[in-house]
Amino acid sequence: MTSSSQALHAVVTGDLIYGLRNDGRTDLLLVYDANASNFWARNIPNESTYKFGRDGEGRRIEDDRQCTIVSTAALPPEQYQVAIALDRRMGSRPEYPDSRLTEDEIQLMLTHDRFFEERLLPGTEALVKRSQKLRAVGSFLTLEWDPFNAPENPSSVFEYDDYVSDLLALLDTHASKNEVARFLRMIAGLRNRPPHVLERADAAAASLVQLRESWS
Amino acid sequence: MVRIAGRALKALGYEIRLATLSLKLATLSLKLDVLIAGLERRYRPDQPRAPKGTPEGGQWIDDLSAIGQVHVEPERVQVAGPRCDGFSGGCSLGGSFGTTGMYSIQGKRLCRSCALKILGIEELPHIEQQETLGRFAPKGQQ
Repeated sequence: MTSSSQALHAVVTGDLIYGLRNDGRTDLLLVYDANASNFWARNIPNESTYKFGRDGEGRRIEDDRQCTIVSTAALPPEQYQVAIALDRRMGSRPEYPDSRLTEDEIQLMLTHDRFFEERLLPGTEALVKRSQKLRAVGSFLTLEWDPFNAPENPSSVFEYDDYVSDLLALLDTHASKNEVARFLRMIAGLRNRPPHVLERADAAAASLVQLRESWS
Repeated sequence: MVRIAGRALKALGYEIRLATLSLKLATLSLKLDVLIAGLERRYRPDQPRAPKGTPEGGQWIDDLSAIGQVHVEPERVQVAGPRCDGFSGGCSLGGSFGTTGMYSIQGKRLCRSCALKILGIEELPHIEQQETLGRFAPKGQQ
Protein backbone atom coordinates (compact mmCIF):
# COMPACT_ATOMS: atom_id res chain seq x y z
CA MET A 1 0.00 0.00 0.00
CA THR A 2 1.21 3.51 -0.81
CA SER A 3 1.89 5.49 2.33
CA SER A 4 -0.04 8.66 2.98
CA SER A 5 3.04 10.80 2.54
CA GLN A 6 3.98 9.18 -0.78
CA ALA A 7 0.45 9.61 -2.10
CA LEU A 8 0.33 13.28 -1.15
CA HIS A 9 3.74 13.97 -2.70
CA ALA A 10 2.53 12.34 -5.91
CA VAL A 11 -0.39 14.79 -6.33
CA VAL A 12 -0.09 16.71 -9.61
CA THR A 13 -2.11 19.26 -11.55
CA GLY A 14 -5.25 17.67 -12.97
CA ASP A 15 -5.74 15.19 -10.11
CA LEU A 16 -9.10 14.84 -8.43
CA ILE A 17 -8.74 14.52 -4.68
CA TYR A 18 -11.06 14.40 -1.70
CA GLY A 19 -10.94 16.50 1.46
CA LEU A 20 -12.82 16.89 4.73
CA ARG A 21 -13.49 20.06 6.64
CA ASN A 22 -13.73 20.40 10.43
CA ASP A 23 -17.51 20.68 10.22
CA GLY A 24 -17.68 17.30 8.47
CA ARG A 25 -18.42 18.72 5.02
CA THR A 26 -16.59 17.22 2.10
CA ASP A 27 -14.77 18.70 -0.86
CA LEU A 28 -14.36 17.17 -4.31
CA LEU A 29 -11.26 19.00 -5.48
CA LEU A 30 -9.50 19.46 -8.79
CA VAL A 31 -5.81 20.29 -8.46
CA TYR A 32 -5.05 23.26 -10.71
CA ASP A 33 -1.47 24.02 -9.69
CA ALA A 34 1.29 22.20 -7.83
CA ASN A 35 4.95 22.52 -6.85
CA ALA A 36 7.32 20.57 -4.62
CA SER A 37 5.91 21.89 -1.35
CA ASN A 38 2.29 22.89 -2.11
CA PHE A 39 -0.65 22.29 -4.36
CA TRP A 40 -3.73 24.36 -5.07
CA ALA A 41 -7.16 22.93 -5.73
CA ARG A 42 -10.73 24.10 -6.26
CA ASN A 43 -13.99 22.59 -5.14
CA ILE A 44 -15.72 21.54 -8.37
CA PRO A 45 -19.37 22.28 -7.54
CA ASN A 46 -18.87 25.61 -5.76
CA GLU A 47 -15.47 26.79 -7.05
CA SER A 48 -14.01 27.74 -3.66
CA THR A 49 -10.22 27.38 -3.68
CA TYR A 50 -7.68 25.86 -1.31
CA LYS A 51 -3.95 25.86 -0.77
CA PHE A 52 -2.50 22.61 0.64
CA GLY A 53 0.83 21.60 2.01
CA ARG A 54 2.27 18.26 0.96
CA ASP A 55 1.13 16.93 4.35
CA GLY A 56 -2.46 17.17 3.06
CA GLU A 57 -3.45 20.01 5.40
CA GLY A 58 -4.86 23.08 3.73
CA ARG A 59 -6.85 26.26 4.10
CA ARG A 60 -9.59 27.70 2.01
CA ILE A 61 -8.25 30.85 0.41
CA GLU A 62 -11.56 32.76 0.75
CA ASP A 63 -12.00 32.35 4.51
CA ASP A 64 -9.04 30.35 5.89
CA ARG A 65 -11.20 27.35 6.82
CA GLN A 66 -9.28 24.15 7.33
CA CYS A 67 -9.47 21.12 5.06
CA THR A 68 -7.62 17.80 5.19
CA ILE A 69 -7.04 15.54 2.21
CA VAL A 70 -8.17 12.02 3.10
CA SER A 71 -8.11 10.35 -0.32
CA THR A 72 -6.21 10.75 -3.55
CA ALA A 73 -7.64 7.61 -5.19
CA ALA A 74 -8.19 7.89 -8.94
CA LEU A 75 -11.84 8.04 -9.98
CA PRO A 76 -12.85 5.69 -12.83
CA PRO A 77 -12.08 7.45 -16.17
CA GLU A 78 -15.74 8.06 -17.12
CA GLN A 79 -16.46 9.69 -13.74
CA TYR A 80 -13.27 11.70 -14.00
CA GLN A 81 -14.47 13.07 -17.35
CA VAL A 82 -17.85 13.97 -15.86
CA ALA A 83 -16.08 15.84 -13.05
CA ILE A 84 -13.81 17.75 -15.44
CA ALA A 85 -16.76 18.71 -17.65
CA LEU A 86 -18.70 19.90 -14.58
CA ASP A 87 -15.73 21.98 -13.44
CA ARG A 88 -15.56 23.70 -16.83
CA ARG A 89 -19.30 24.30 -16.88
CA MET A 90 -19.41 25.77 -13.37
CA GLY A 91 -16.45 28.00 -14.25
CA SER A 92 -18.41 29.49 -17.13
CA ARG A 93 -21.30 30.49 -14.80
CA PRO A 94 -23.98 29.00 -17.04
CA GLU A 95 -27.41 30.58 -17.25
CA TYR A 96 -30.57 28.56 -16.73
CA PRO A 97 -31.39 26.08 -18.34
CA ASP A 98 -27.72 25.30 -19.10
CA SER A 99 -27.10 25.37 -15.34
CA ARG A 100 -29.12 22.18 -14.82
CA LEU A 101 -27.09 19.14 -13.83
CA THR A 102 -26.99 16.10 -16.07
CA GLU A 103 -27.87 12.69 -14.66
CA ASP A 104 -24.19 11.73 -14.68
CA GLU A 105 -23.29 14.87 -12.74
CA ILE A 106 -25.99 14.19 -10.16
CA GLN A 107 -24.72 10.64 -9.81
CA LEU A 108 -21.19 11.92 -9.32
CA MET A 109 -22.36 14.36 -6.64
CA LEU A 110 -24.24 11.64 -4.79
CA THR A 111 -21.73 8.80 -5.01
CA HIS A 112 -18.21 10.19 -4.88
CA ASP A 113 -18.18 10.38 -1.05
CA ARG A 114 -18.58 6.64 -0.86
CA PHE A 115 -15.98 6.00 -3.56
CA PHE A 116 -13.29 8.04 -1.80
CA GLU A 117 -14.20 6.99 1.74
CA GLU A 118 -13.68 3.37 0.74
CA ARG A 119 -10.17 4.29 -0.49
CA LEU A 120 -8.68 6.38 2.31
CA LEU A 121 -5.15 7.52 2.91
CA PRO A 122 -3.72 5.54 5.85
CA GLY A 123 -4.27 7.25 9.21
CA THR A 124 -7.35 9.24 8.22
CA GLU A 125 -10.00 6.72 9.31
CA ALA A 126 -10.89 8.45 12.60
CA LEU A 127 -11.29 11.80 10.85
CA VAL A 128 -13.61 10.23 8.29
CA LYS A 129 -15.64 8.47 10.98
CA ARG A 130 -16.18 11.76 12.78
CA SER A 131 -17.16 13.44 9.53
CA GLN A 132 -19.70 10.70 8.83
CA LYS A 133 -21.23 11.19 12.28
CA LEU A 134 -21.41 14.96 11.80
CA ARG A 135 -23.14 14.50 8.45
CA ALA A 136 -25.59 11.99 9.93
CA VAL A 137 -26.52 14.35 12.78
CA GLY A 138 -26.73 17.36 10.44
CA SER A 139 -28.95 15.49 8.00
CA PHE A 140 -31.21 14.37 10.80
CA LEU A 141 -31.69 17.94 12.00
CA THR A 142 -32.63 19.40 8.62
CA LEU A 143 -34.47 16.41 7.16
CA GLU A 144 -36.32 14.97 10.15
CA TRP A 145 -36.50 17.47 12.98
CA ASP A 146 -36.77 20.84 11.20
CA PRO A 147 -37.15 19.92 7.52
CA PHE A 148 -35.59 22.20 4.93
CA ASN A 149 -38.39 21.18 2.56
CA ALA A 150 -41.26 22.14 4.90
CA PRO A 151 -44.00 23.96 2.97
CA GLU A 152 -43.91 26.95 5.34
CA ASN A 153 -41.01 28.51 7.19
CA PRO A 154 -38.51 25.81 6.18
CA SER A 155 -35.04 25.64 7.64
CA SER A 156 -32.04 26.10 5.40
CA VAL A 157 -29.92 23.01 4.72
CA PHE A 158 -27.24 24.96 6.61
CA GLU A 159 -29.52 26.05 9.48
CA TYR A 160 -27.74 24.14 12.25
CA ASP A 161 -24.21 23.87 10.81
CA ASP A 162 -22.74 25.90 13.64
CA TYR A 163 -24.21 23.62 16.31
CA VAL A 164 -23.72 20.12 14.85
CA SER A 165 -20.23 19.58 16.27
CA ASP A 166 -21.38 20.67 19.76
CA LEU A 167 -24.36 18.35 19.49
CA LEU A 168 -22.10 15.47 18.45
CA ALA A 169 -19.79 16.24 21.38
CA LEU A 170 -22.83 16.14 23.69
CA LEU A 171 -23.95 12.81 22.24
CA ASP A 172 -20.42 11.45 22.66
CA THR A 173 -20.58 12.20 26.40
CA HIS A 174 -23.54 9.79 26.60
CA ALA A 175 -25.91 12.62 27.42
CA SER A 176 -29.45 11.59 28.33
CA LYS A 177 -32.45 12.08 26.07
CA ASN A 178 -33.58 15.02 28.20
CA GLU A 179 -30.22 16.74 27.95
CA VAL A 180 -30.21 16.33 24.17
CA ALA A 181 -33.79 17.66 24.00
CA ARG A 182 -32.78 20.69 26.07
CA PHE A 183 -29.91 21.37 23.67
CA LEU A 184 -32.25 21.08 20.66
CA ARG A 185 -34.71 23.53 22.19
CA MET A 186 -31.87 25.94 22.86
CA ILE A 187 -30.56 25.91 19.29
CA ALA A 188 -34.07 26.19 17.85
CA GLY A 189 -34.56 29.23 20.06
CA LEU A 190 -31.26 30.74 18.96
CA ARG A 191 -32.26 30.25 15.33
CA ASN A 192 -35.69 31.73 16.02
CA ARG A 193 -37.46 28.67 14.70
CA PRO A 194 -41.25 28.35 15.03
CA PRO A 195 -42.87 26.70 18.11
CA HIS A 196 -43.73 23.42 16.38
CA VAL A 197 -39.98 22.75 15.93
CA LEU A 198 -39.39 23.11 19.68
CA GLU A 199 -42.36 20.84 20.38
CA ARG A 200 -40.69 18.06 18.42
CA ALA A 201 -37.45 18.29 20.43
CA ASP A 202 -38.22 15.32 22.72
CA ALA A 203 -38.97 12.97 19.83
CA ALA A 204 -35.91 14.21 17.94
CA ALA A 205 -33.70 13.68 20.99
CA ALA A 206 -34.92 10.09 21.28
CA SER A 207 -34.01 9.49 17.62
CA LEU A 208 -30.56 11.03 18.09
CA VAL A 209 -29.87 8.86 21.13
CA GLN A 210 -30.91 5.86 19.03
CA LEU A 211 -28.55 7.00 16.25
CA ARG A 212 -25.72 7.19 18.80
CA GLU A 213 -26.41 3.59 19.87
CA SER A 214 -26.00 2.51 16.24
CA TRP A 215 -22.43 3.90 16.18
CA SER A 216 -21.11 1.77 18.99
CA MET B 1 -69.72 113.30 -1.12
CA VAL B 2 -68.71 112.68 2.45
CA ARG B 3 -72.33 111.76 3.23
CA ILE B 4 -72.37 109.17 0.44
CA ALA B 5 -69.18 107.63 1.71
CA GLY B 6 -70.60 107.46 5.25
CA ARG B 7 -73.73 105.64 4.02
CA ALA B 8 -71.61 103.14 2.09
CA LEU B 9 -69.49 102.43 5.18
CA LYS B 10 -72.63 101.95 7.30
CA ALA B 11 -74.06 99.48 4.72
CA LEU B 12 -70.78 97.55 4.73
CA GLY B 13 -70.91 97.34 8.55
CA TYR B 14 -74.43 95.85 8.41
CA GLU B 15 -73.30 93.27 5.85
CA ILE B 16 -70.36 92.25 7.99
CA ARG B 17 -72.61 91.89 11.05
CA LEU B 18 -75.10 89.81 9.03
CA ALA B 19 -72.34 87.53 7.74
CA THR B 20 -71.02 87.04 11.29
CA LEU B 21 -74.50 86.16 12.54
CA SER B 22 -75.11 83.59 9.78
CA LEU B 23 -71.70 82.06 10.50
CA LYS B 24 -72.60 81.76 14.22
CA LEU B 25 -75.90 80.15 13.26
CA ALA B 26 -74.13 77.61 11.01
CA THR B 27 -71.69 76.75 13.83
CA LEU B 28 -74.57 76.28 16.31
CA SER B 29 -76.40 74.06 13.84
CA LEU B 30 -73.29 71.93 13.35
CA LYS B 31 -72.80 71.57 17.13
CA LEU B 32 -76.43 70.47 17.47
CA ASP B 33 -75.95 67.83 14.75
CA VAL B 34 -72.88 66.47 16.56
CA LEU B 35 -74.78 66.33 19.88
CA ILE B 36 -77.71 64.47 18.29
CA ALA B 37 -75.39 62.02 16.58
CA GLY B 38 -73.64 61.42 19.91
CA LEU B 39 -76.92 60.75 21.68
CA GLU B 40 -77.97 58.37 18.90
CA ARG B 41 -74.68 56.52 19.30
CA ARG B 42 -75.07 56.28 23.08
CA TYR B 43 -78.47 54.74 22.90
CA ARG B 44 -79.68 52.23 20.35
CA PRO B 45 -82.77 50.24 21.36
CA ASP B 46 -81.57 47.29 19.29
CA GLN B 47 -77.95 47.28 20.53
CA PRO B 48 -77.11 43.84 22.00
CA ARG B 49 -75.88 43.27 25.56
CA ALA B 50 -73.43 40.65 26.73
CA PRO B 51 -75.25 37.60 28.10
CA LYS B 52 -75.25 36.60 31.79
CA GLY B 53 -72.41 34.41 32.95
CA THR B 54 -69.80 36.10 30.83
CA PRO B 55 -67.22 38.53 32.23
CA GLU B 56 -68.90 41.36 30.29
CA GLY B 57 -72.45 40.27 31.30
CA GLY B 58 -75.05 43.06 30.85
CA GLN B 59 -72.78 45.51 29.13
CA TRP B 60 -73.46 46.97 25.72
CA ILE B 61 -71.50 45.23 23.02
CA ASP B 62 -71.00 45.75 19.31
CA ASP B 63 -71.27 42.14 18.28
CA LEU B 64 -72.60 39.10 20.16
CA SER B 65 -70.18 36.76 18.43
CA ALA B 66 -67.27 38.62 20.02
CA ILE B 67 -68.21 37.49 23.56
CA GLY B 68 -65.86 34.99 25.17
CA GLN B 69 -63.52 35.02 22.24
CA VAL B 70 -59.82 35.04 23.02
CA HIS B 71 -57.61 37.06 20.74
CA VAL B 72 -54.83 34.83 19.47
CA GLU B 73 -51.74 36.30 17.89
CA PRO B 74 -51.08 34.58 14.57
CA GLU B 75 -47.92 32.49 14.52
CA ARG B 76 -45.06 34.58 13.26
CA VAL B 77 -43.40 33.39 10.12
CA GLN B 78 -39.71 34.03 10.09
CA VAL B 79 -38.53 35.40 6.81
CA ALA B 80 -34.78 35.23 7.04
CA GLY B 81 -32.17 36.36 4.61
CA PRO B 82 -32.12 38.67 1.65
CA ARG B 83 -34.42 38.57 -1.36
CA CYS B 84 -33.98 35.86 -3.95
CA ASP B 85 -32.18 37.19 -7.03
CA GLY B 86 -34.29 34.90 -9.17
CA PHE B 87 -33.49 34.12 -12.80
CA SER B 88 -35.42 33.77 -16.03
CA GLY B 89 -37.63 30.77 -15.35
CA GLY B 90 -37.29 31.08 -11.58
CA CYS B 91 -39.38 33.00 -9.07
CA SER B 92 -40.04 36.66 -9.69
CA LEU B 93 -41.23 37.75 -6.25
CA GLY B 94 -38.00 37.71 -4.30
CA GLY B 95 -38.51 34.22 -2.90
CA SER B 96 -41.02 31.40 -2.72
CA PHE B 97 -43.47 31.61 0.18
CA GLY B 98 -41.71 31.54 3.52
CA THR B 99 -38.22 31.38 2.08
CA THR B 100 -35.82 33.98 0.79
CA GLY B 101 -32.37 34.01 -0.75
CA MET B 102 -30.88 31.47 1.65
CA TYR B 103 -28.77 29.64 -0.94
CA SER B 104 -25.85 31.11 -2.81
CA ILE B 105 -25.32 29.18 -6.02
CA GLN B 106 -23.30 30.15 -9.07
CA GLY B 107 -22.97 33.70 -7.82
CA LYS B 108 -26.72 34.13 -7.27
CA ARG B 109 -28.70 34.38 -4.05
CA LEU B 110 -31.59 32.01 -4.47
CA CYS B 111 -34.61 30.79 -2.56
CA ARG B 112 -35.04 27.05 -2.15
CA SER B 113 -37.29 26.53 -5.14
CA CYS B 114 -35.01 28.58 -7.44
CA ALA B 115 -31.93 26.75 -6.12
CA LEU B 116 -33.53 23.41 -6.90
CA LYS B 117 -34.67 24.59 -10.30
CA ILE B 118 -31.42 26.18 -11.44
CA LEU B 119 -29.64 22.89 -10.75
CA GLY B 120 -32.48 20.86 -12.26
CA ILE B 121 -32.91 18.71 -9.15
CA GLU B 122 -36.56 19.42 -8.28
CA GLU B 123 -37.52 15.79 -8.85
CA LEU B 124 -34.83 14.22 -6.67
CA PRO B 125 -35.78 12.74 -3.27
CA HIS B 126 -35.40 15.29 -0.48
CA ILE B 127 -32.32 13.68 1.00
CA GLU B 128 -30.56 13.89 -2.39
CA GLN B 129 -31.73 17.47 -2.90
CA GLN B 130 -30.24 18.36 0.45
CA GLU B 131 -26.96 16.63 -0.32
CA THR B 132 -26.64 18.29 -3.72
CA LEU B 133 -27.59 21.77 -2.49
CA GLY B 134 -25.02 21.44 0.30
CA ARG B 135 -22.26 20.87 -2.26
CA PHE B 136 -23.12 23.71 -4.60
CA ALA B 137 -23.65 26.46 -2.08
CA PRO B 138 -20.18 27.93 -1.74
CA LYS B 139 -18.23 27.93 1.46
CA GLY B 140 -20.61 25.33 2.71
CA GLN B 141 -22.36 27.84 3.73
CA GLN B 142 -20.23 29.87 6.08
